[in-house]
Amino acid sequence: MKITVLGRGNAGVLTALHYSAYSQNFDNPVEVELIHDSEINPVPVGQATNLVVPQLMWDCLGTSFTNLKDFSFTEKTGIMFENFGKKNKEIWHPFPIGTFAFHFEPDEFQNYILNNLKNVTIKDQHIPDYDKIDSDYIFDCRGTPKDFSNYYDLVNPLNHVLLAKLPAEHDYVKWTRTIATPDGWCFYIPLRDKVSLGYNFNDKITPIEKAKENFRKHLGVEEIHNHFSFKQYLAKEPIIDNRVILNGNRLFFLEPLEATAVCSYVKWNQQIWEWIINKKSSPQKAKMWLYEYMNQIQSFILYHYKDGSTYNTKFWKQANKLYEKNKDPELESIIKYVKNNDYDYIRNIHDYPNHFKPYAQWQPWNIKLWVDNV
Amino acid sequence: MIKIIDNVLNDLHYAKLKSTLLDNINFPWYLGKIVATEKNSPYQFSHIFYGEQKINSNYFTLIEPVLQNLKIKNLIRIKANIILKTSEIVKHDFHIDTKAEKKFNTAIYYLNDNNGFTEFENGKIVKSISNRLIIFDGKIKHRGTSCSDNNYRSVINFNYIKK
Repeated sequence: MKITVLGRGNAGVLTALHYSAYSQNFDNPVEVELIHDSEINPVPVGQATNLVVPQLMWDCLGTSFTNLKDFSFTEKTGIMFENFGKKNKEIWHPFPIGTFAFHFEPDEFQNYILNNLKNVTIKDQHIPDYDKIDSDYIFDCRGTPKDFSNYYDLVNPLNHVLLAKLPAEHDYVKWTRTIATPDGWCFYIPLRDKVSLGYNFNDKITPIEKAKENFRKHLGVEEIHNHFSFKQYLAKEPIIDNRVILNGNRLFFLEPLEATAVCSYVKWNQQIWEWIINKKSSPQKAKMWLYEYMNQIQSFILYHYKDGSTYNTKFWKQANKLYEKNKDPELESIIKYVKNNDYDYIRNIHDYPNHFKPYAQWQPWNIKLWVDNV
Repeated sequence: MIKIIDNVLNDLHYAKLKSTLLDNINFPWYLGKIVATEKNSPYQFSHIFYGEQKINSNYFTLIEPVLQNLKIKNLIRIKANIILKTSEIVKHDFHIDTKAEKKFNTAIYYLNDNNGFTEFENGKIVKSISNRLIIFDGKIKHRGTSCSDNNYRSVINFNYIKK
């Protein structure tokens, strides 16, 4: 079997790694080709993973602290939500003890994986259409689509981000800071050589200049080096003609609260693996899984806005209504159980090997921490 | 009065519902006649989500986002239908969905776009537009049709007593 991965962003390199590494001991390993266009640059903003990506990298590359010389990640032990809700000023969303994820610079991260891929042919080439590719399957990871006519809209209160940097902190925090602001929220990602900040807001509610003023005032930044509006979407046809699989920003984009993106790329690859390698699934099943999964992510992200923040502004008044209009019955059910401290449900002790059934990327414990503290 | 709500579900709820019912070999559809039509009695495929005063489907949670748009005191029946394409549009007979209740509401949720429609006895026609919900007094006679421009026409019918 031959697969071609188009693009060398986060989704592209993780897909090439996934299929080359996990099939290397097969009698006939998957032949993996990665084609990228060097004219296209990666998104220049610090990013973060949750626990799925480090596990993949440990499995496939043995990545650990010893690789700090290869790409300068910082440890991420969870997310600290600041100024969200009405009860506590800080809400922890920790990872389990004994685990950590990481913050990274995309270009360093992507180069590290590219340099360590084994049995992958890498080409620098512009691909105008899929017919030029001689492969059984194509993973299209070439970033944001130019035309959104074949995409669903995702529900979310944000549509714009301002980007800035602060000097690196000597004793940097070991978590992502997610700070509610009058206009939305700001990510604060501690990297080794700087802190990367993104001020997320809605430009239909807050004019860009006002958002810049508030960014400077509340986060202490001086130079805002970039800003862009964004659309939030999911492909209506995530698998085209049973041959082309979309991934990365070509598949979906949802705001960065909870850092769900790269983990979702890996989970989608796992679903596709079940179809094309293990033959235990189908394009229809994979697509159904994707809609269910994305619905869960959308719902829990909206739930973060439900109880507002310390700011009683127009943004928060509008944002906290979105969950009620778009709530997911399954999340409602989990919330009911965790509120009632139904630990049997939380632990699912009657099904021990499969306990902790996740809701998208979250264990019921994560949901309980949010529900109890917001 | 017939209330029409377009784009009633958000895109993901709609995508999830549609892919589960219409793009899923494991979803249980059952063959039966279109009871409301006496002449030529064409067949349709159905799935009862709720009937005989109980949930009748493992997929009930899928339709809960639609239920949030209805002011329901008691459910009577929720049934999804698929009517296959015909060479020309076939109109079924005018009917009301149940004679067991004196006062109830009917709602119809359209799962796919096609040239079929719902027609009311006063001549009003509502087109089958995906993700559209219509709500009306259950005592108003209405009828559905097949379609001729898509492989099938699929709707979910809700009968309920309103609050």
